[in-house]
Amino acid sequence: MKKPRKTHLTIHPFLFECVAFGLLLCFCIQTWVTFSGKPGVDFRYYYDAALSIRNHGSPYWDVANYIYPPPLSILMLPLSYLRPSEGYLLWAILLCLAYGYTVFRCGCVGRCSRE
Amino acid sequence: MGDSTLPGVRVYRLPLWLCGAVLAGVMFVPAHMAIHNGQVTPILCALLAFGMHRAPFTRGLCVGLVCAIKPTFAPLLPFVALAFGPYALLGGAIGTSAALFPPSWLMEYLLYAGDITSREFPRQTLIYYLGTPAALTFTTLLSLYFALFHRGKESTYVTLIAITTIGTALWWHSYLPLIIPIAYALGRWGAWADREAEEPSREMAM
Repeated sequence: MKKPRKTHLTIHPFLFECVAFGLLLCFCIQTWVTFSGKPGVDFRYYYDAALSIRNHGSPYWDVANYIYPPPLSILMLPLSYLRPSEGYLLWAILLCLAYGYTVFRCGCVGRCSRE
Repeated sequence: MGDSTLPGVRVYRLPLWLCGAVLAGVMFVPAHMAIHNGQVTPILCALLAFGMHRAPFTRGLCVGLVCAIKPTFAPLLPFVALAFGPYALLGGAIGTSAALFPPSWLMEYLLYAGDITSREFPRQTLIYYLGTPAALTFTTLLSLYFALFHRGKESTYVTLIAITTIGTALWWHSYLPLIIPIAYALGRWGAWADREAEEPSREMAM
C-alpha cells in the first residue's frame, strides 16, 4: 500500500501571520528598494495623458512616451485629480490587488480544470 | 484554506498548490518591475484571469478589452476566437471596439504608432533576436496549432497567453502575463496531488 501523499501544509496561525508579513515585506523590498530608478515612470506617462485630456489637449502630441490607444488615458482620468504621488500610491495598491487576484484565480481554475 | 483542531492547538491547513502559487507570485521578477514602473500589465493580467473558466463571449470580451488597452496582445484575439468559437469572436470584437472611441484620438494614435514600431528595444526578447516579422510568424504558427488541435480547453487559453507573451514581449516587465500559466500549472499539480493522495485511502477502503 502506498504512503499517502502530503497535499497540505499544517501551520500555526501565528507562524502563518509571520510568514505572510515576511513575504509581503520581501515583495515590497523587491519592488521598491531593489530596483533603481524613480518608481512610477510609466504611471507618470498615463497620468500626464489623462491630464492632457482634461485640459482638452491630445495625449499623443502633448505627452512624450504615451504609446497606448485612447482607452487607457480615459481610464486614468479619476487618478489625474490627485497629486502624482498620491495617484501612484493608489495605482500601486490597485496593481498589487489585481496581481494577487490573477495568481489566486489562475491557481483555482487550474485546480478545477480537467483539461 | 481550512483549519483543523489538534489536541489543544489550532492550526491552519494550507493547500500546497496555493503556497506554491503565492511563492511564485512573490518571487516573480517581471511583477516587481511592472509594479515599480506603474505599468498597466497587472490589470490586464487580472482581466485575462477573469476570462478563464467563463462563457466564450465573456472570455472574448476580456481578451478584446485587453487588446484595446495594450495592442501588443492583439495576436491573442484571433486564436482565442478560433479556439472558443464565434461567441468569443463577438465578445472580442465588442471589447476591441473600445479602442475606437474617440475616433479623432484613434487617428492620432495610428499616426503615432508608426513612430513606435520603428523604435529599437533592448535585448531581452524574441523580437530583438529574431526581428518582428519572424517573432510574429513564430507566434502565429504556434498559436494556430494549439487553437486548431486543442480547441475549447482551458489549457489552450493559458498556452495562447504564454505564446503571445513570449512572442511579443519588448521589455522584462512584458513577461508578467507568464504568471498566468505558472499559477494555472501549480493549480493543476494541486489537483493531481489530491487525486494521488486519495488513492491509498481507496485501497484501504477496498
